[in-house]
Amino acid sequence: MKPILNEYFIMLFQADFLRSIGKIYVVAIVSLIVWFGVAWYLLRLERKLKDVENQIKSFKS
Amino acid sequence: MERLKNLFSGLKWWKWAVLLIMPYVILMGFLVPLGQGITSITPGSTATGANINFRISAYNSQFSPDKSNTAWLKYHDLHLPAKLVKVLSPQEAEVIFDIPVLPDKSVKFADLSLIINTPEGPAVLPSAVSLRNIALDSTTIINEVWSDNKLNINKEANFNYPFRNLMAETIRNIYFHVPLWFAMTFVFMFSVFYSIRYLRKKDINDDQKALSLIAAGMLFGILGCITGAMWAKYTWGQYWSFDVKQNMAAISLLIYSGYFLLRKSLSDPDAKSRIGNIYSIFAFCMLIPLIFIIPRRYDSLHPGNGGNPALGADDLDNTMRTVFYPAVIAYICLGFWLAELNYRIIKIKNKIESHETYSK
Amino acid sequence: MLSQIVSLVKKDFTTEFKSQERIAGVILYLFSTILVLYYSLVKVERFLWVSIFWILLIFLSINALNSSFSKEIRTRHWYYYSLVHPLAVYFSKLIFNFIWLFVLTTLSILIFKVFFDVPPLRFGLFAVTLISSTLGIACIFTFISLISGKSSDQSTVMSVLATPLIFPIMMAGSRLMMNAFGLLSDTDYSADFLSIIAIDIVAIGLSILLFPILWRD
Repeated sequence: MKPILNEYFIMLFQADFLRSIGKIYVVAIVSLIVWFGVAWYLLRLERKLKDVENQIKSFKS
Repeated sequence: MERLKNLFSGLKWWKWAVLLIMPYVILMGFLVPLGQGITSITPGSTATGANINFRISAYNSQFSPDKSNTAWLKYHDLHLPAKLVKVLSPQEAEVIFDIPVLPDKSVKFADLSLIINTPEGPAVLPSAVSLRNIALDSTTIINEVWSDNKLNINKEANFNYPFRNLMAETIRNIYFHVPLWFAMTFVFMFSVFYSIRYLRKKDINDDQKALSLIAAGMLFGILGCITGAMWAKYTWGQYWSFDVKQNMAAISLLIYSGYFLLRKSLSDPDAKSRIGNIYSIFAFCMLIPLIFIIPRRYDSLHPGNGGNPALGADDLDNTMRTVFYPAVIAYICLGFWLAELNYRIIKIKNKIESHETYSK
Repeated sequence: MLSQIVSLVKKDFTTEFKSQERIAGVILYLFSTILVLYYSLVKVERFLWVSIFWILLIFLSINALNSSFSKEIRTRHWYYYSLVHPLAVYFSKLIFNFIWLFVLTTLSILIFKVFFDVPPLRFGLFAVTLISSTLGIACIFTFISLISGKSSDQSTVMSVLATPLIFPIMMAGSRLMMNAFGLLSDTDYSADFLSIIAIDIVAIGLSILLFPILWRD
């Protein structure tokens, strides 16, 4: 298991990894960035919602 | 089953649009193959009078010696057929040309494009060969001639995206990066609509709507900058090439971050929303020349600059349109969805706060 | 309304010139900046001229126009509000800022010329660019200074809000300037000039629409 993972990481950090197979990994990274951005925004909303919920809780008690 | 029904009940149509179109965009964006394209040619230069043997390697191609393949060298309207196309492997071939003198003797150097025509469709390499146009001595006789007849090129046989040399597979980023900007502009436009409505009717909800729309637009703008930088690194060579559109994007983000700074710096809640909305209207109108007029006056690495309209036929063919426009709609709806969630949270918060002040 | 504007502009000039340390401060700032430029650059090429000019213009306008609404005390706002039409206040401020900025820019160019003698090739284009871009900058700064005058941290908000907003003017203006200095191969300047004029008109029109709302406090 270990050596395979190791090889995988070596491949990942090779200078030309992102340029291999017609630079398809650039597209993967771009779509991942979009996803992480949206996820970050959702997490922020989550935190805001939690604040509101806490406010309601403290208000009821 | 009941639970699933509850999950989707009461969803507005534009939320359905996000849920349905996004998978379509992702699937189409990643699964539809690229058309064939020529990646390299050796030698890269030649002179007239030569009997030359170009070795080309191609991407995503299925060259086969059993099928009829043809090739041309093209210079403006003139083209020269290859004497022979010899297929070495599905991705490699040799093309043999006898090159006569160009009819226009005054041209010293000419950039020729190479077109190869296979049953699957054509592949083009723009400015593939640089040709030195010299007069021939009488001993070399070449039967070929440059002609300007219509080229007989096969139609694209498969459903695929066009191959562009610098971009290769990253042409798919058009579905993930470009709609971010469309969505940002659209969301900002709607925020201006709510700002104006706030100033007319003084309904605090409109102000909160404008605020959350601007927040969602900012998210898209920031993502657009980051993804654009990533794409630029692997096509133009640098993360930030000080291209005019990149600068404009950065400046529009600066202008809108000024909006949040302004709101932070005002203490009175009424002044906060009033002045914030006035600034956002002013800022958006100042943004219009920044986005739509000025970039066209400058040379840019982006397509659609230096006078030509954006997204012409060269940048976006019909196959890509079938995915690109749905992607734009999906991103806009996603922006609205994110903004709406934010707005609802803000609204509840305000209600609680006003309730608390009442009860005290 | 015209007489109101004229009297308000007059009032602005008298108050500005009464506080001599403000004028002296701005002019001293100009001199020292140009002196620093002189010692660090010695010789200025044409293309450097354009960029230095724009940097100078931006900082000059931030310095000179930033307090156009803050020096009036709140109570005086009320006083004006009861007396004159809000648009008269706006136009008086705009005219004052435009004249003041234009005079300062012309002065800085004159001082500039003493140190670095680089004449523009097309003087008419140069002058027109100067007028149209200072008008746009004055308009945006007038509006933003009123907005930032209401906030707690005035000067920071002012520069953060105004600098990106004048960027389109700067881009088109620097292209026109380059044209005036004969640095561009494409000598057709009508589109750049039209875009500056369009920005000016949009900025003034928006200010006319939005200023009365902002003014009522």
